[in-house]
Amino acid sequence: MGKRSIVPFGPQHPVLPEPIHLDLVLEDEKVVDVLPEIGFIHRGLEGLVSKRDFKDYVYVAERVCGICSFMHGMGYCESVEHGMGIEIPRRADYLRTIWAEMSRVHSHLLWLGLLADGFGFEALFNECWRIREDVLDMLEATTGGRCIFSVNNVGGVVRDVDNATLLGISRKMDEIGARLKEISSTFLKDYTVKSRLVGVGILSHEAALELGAVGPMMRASGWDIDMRTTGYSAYGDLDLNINTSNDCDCYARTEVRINEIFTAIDLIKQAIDKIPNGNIIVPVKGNPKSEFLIRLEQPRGEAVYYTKGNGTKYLDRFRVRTPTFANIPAMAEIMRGCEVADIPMIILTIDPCISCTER
Amino acid sequence: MSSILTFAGIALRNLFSPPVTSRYPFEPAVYPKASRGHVEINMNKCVFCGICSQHCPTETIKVDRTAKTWSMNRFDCVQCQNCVNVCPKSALTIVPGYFAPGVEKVSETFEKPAPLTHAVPALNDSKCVKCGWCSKKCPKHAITVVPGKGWSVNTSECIGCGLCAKECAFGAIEMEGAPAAAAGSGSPVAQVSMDKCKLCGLCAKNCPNSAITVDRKAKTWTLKTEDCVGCGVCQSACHFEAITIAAAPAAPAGEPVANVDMSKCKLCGLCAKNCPNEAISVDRKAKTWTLKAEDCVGCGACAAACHFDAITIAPAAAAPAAPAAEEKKEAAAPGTKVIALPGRRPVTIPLKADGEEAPVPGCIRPEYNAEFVDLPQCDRDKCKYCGLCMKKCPKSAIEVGRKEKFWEVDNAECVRCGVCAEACPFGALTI
Amino acid sequence: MMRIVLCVVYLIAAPFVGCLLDGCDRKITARMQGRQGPSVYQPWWDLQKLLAKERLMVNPSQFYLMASYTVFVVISGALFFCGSDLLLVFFALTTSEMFMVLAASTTSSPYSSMGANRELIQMTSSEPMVLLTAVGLYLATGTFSVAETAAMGGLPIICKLPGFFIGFVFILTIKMRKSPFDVSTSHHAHQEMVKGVTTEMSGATLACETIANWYEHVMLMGIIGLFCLNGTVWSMLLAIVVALAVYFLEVLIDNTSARVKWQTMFKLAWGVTIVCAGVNLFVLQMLR
Repeated sequence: MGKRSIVPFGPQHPVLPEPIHLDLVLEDEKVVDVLPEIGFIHRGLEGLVSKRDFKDYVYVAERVCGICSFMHGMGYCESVEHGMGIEIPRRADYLRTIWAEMSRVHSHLLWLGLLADGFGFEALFNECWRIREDVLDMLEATTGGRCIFSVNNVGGVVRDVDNATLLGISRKMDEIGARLKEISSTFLKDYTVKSRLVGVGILSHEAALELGAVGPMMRASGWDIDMRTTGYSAYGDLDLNINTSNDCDCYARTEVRINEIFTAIDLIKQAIDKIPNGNIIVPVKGNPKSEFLIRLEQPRGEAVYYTKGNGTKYLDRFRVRTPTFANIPAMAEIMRGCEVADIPMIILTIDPCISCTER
Repeated sequence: MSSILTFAGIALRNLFSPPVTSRYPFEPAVYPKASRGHVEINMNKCVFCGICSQHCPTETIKVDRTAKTWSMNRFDCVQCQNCVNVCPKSALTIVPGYFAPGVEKVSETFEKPAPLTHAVPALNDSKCVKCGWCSKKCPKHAITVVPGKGWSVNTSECIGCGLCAKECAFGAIEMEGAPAAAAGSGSPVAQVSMDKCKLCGLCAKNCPNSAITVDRKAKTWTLKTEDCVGCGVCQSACHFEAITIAAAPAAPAGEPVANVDMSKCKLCGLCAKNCPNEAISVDRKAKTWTLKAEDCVGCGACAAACHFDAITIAPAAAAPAAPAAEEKKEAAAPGTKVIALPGRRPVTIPLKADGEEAPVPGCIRPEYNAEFVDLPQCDRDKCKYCGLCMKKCPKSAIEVGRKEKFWEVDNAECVRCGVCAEACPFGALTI
Repeated sequence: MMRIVLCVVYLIAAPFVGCLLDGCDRKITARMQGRQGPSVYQPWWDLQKLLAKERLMVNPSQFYLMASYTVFVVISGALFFCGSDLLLVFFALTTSEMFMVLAASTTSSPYSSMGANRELIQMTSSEPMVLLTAVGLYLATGTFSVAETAAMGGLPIICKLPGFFIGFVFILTIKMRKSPFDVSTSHHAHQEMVKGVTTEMSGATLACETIANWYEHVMLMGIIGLFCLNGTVWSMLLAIVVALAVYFLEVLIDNTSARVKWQTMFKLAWGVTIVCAGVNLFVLQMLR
């Protein structure tokens, strides 16, 4: 048994995409224990809900995070809309679904790039982000924003996309799928990459449930849990294929996320085929009085949104339970016994979004 | 199963193809049209209502009504486009191009420009062939053209009629600057003498801004004052010397403000709640709807909020109406004057904002209409206790219990507006 | 006389050649990643900037240790180019690396110390092959002297020592700190140990490391070239072409593999050493 030392890891560390602090208890290069600590970027966005008109708060809600931004805005709007009994136009539902799935594609590609950077494969990182750039271009052309779209509002969406552009997106998605296939062989078959991923950070089938993991973490441990099956927005009309794996390690989580991009591309194309014409927003009269809780599937897993109104234009409470928050216990668990070199892989495969977690 | 150098193909392909990154900032970045870069304001349209500043999530917009300024700290702006969406006057737009970074936060302030009396022609030199046709057509001889070479306009002579732009065969001239509507009070406009007018419509045909409409059936000659630039083309076109260009005969319409139609108003108070400047007060006991005209900026938030279309934005009537004209029913658009010719008797009716009786200040609402005197009645056989009436009631006077099969209306709160009866999908409510 | 001239040319020109090679490396890497990439002179400007920085040191001894590292790298290169004993060259090179390890250990930074540990593991992985290369060259030529080896007539030594050549190119990836074997420090501070051994270095100290790297790269390319020399002019051209090809191969490998863990590196390096060098050694012994 070697000498134990405590190495501080983060909140500022080159492999970390976002500030989380870990105290690593090491024996040589073996991690004996790990103590995660968050709270570096709390901004009090939830509290702001009692200071902003509930319709203006959408723009605050979507700034909870810079990557899964759209889904935060969407979760907030859906929960207020359901609470007020507003039925939004079907076209708005479909547009939300398309943009949500496009955010999933760009979020997963971003993550793949970060993972590649984490195991020191800079060329692969650049290639992933290059593909992601095409998705961002399409998002900017349709919504006006690259990551933060600001197209949601209570009652629907504020920007429409004409059908010709949608068909163009559908075609472009095929191209993106083909290019992704090319680089996915590097992720899944390359010897050096596999030596970093296979057998690292094993979260067993039972432990995943016990520690309350969500999203790709859960699905890579063999659970087919996906909130999109609840059929919110337009998901009820689409055929959804849930990607799972039974390998339980970092490799499985990479594989699940890569397959989820293909599924998302498929969902986008289905939604574009089925999108109805019509209105995109309904006027909202009155103020929310009731409370409502809704669960959405974000790129990082299940997120919970809760709103409570009091009849005025200011809501009493808005609460988000983000997927990263649910995944941190599982992350700390699977880090015990790994090596220092595995730390980045394990942190990255939960796809941490600390700014969402702290809001 | 695993293989090595799987990425070599892509790496070598990249090596021998041109790079995908650009040399920004040496090469400018290209943004799509829809890109949300920064907010721009058209100060000519802004009425300083302050709705944008109230709805800004980052509180970066400041509107000063007294100083007539609109300022924004662009470093705080998050480009959410909410101000653009809520602006009632479409004065704000969001356009591509990000605001350049800086070392300190500065606020950018815009002031209301001195009202331009008229628009000025601007030349698109690439289209112009210097034929000189515009100079011939200009009623004020303000344009000089050296054939084949030069083009210039004497802006002090120009009255912004836009005839040159209309006549140019090549579309080389565009009118730039404030529309004539900003002309303000006292600028000369076309006046008609109905004694001489034969309603032939030549003036209307010749007007470069389509400010004149002539209705032969109704025997009316109508001028949209905000479109008339006083160019005098109609005067020269008239065969009967019926038209003169002179200052508006009556006091021109003031700034548009909110006007209420008290026969429609249910005194629910939604307008007062939505007014950004608290210019409206509704007193249900005294049954009055009062507008503080000096606070009203004519933004239209009250009109948008009203469930009963009772509010219109129009210039305030200067005084209680003179003897009503017979065309009273024709709703007057802002700044429109209608001069009627009833029964071929040539009469000139002095200009006034047509329509309802003067609503400001403190209109007294007439007694409730007889049909609305009663409380809403619920037919319990038809009622499904869905609660829609409860949701729709602007005064929250109805309570519905779904399980308890309970429906009650609060007599004190109910304003007999009838929204519940309209909303009921089962026709269970009568009022 | 010729030896002294070569030695002086090396001492003066090596940093410039190394710098240019580094610049080409960065440009080619960028293009393989689809980027524009910096100018080929960028490493030179970087060095000037490092030298202009304020001297901030965690531990004053670190600078002297890094300076010693540089001096020993330069000495081993100079010994190589003046045609001295190959064993001496390799031992001087190993000594220089020891100074690097010491420099990294003088700080109490956990990342730097972990980097020092890994640097030692890297040496353990690569040194057997380095020494075996000297042995192989001796068996093929009967001398340890670089000058005599280079002037040896007949076919280039690479024909007799293909296994040693492959093995040496393999561990070159470790020596040049390229992916997949950049475990102790990497070109970008994007690994779990930030930048490993060089984490706590800045300014002039880091400049020493950069200059030493340029000298070392040129010398390593010289060793690659030595495999192709047989005393004729065309063999010199061949040596330069092969050295550049190997350098390009290293860049390609750097861009097409992930950083492996030290265990994998150790297994692979020793595996390749035993298989390639061992088989070649066996065949050489059989032919004698």
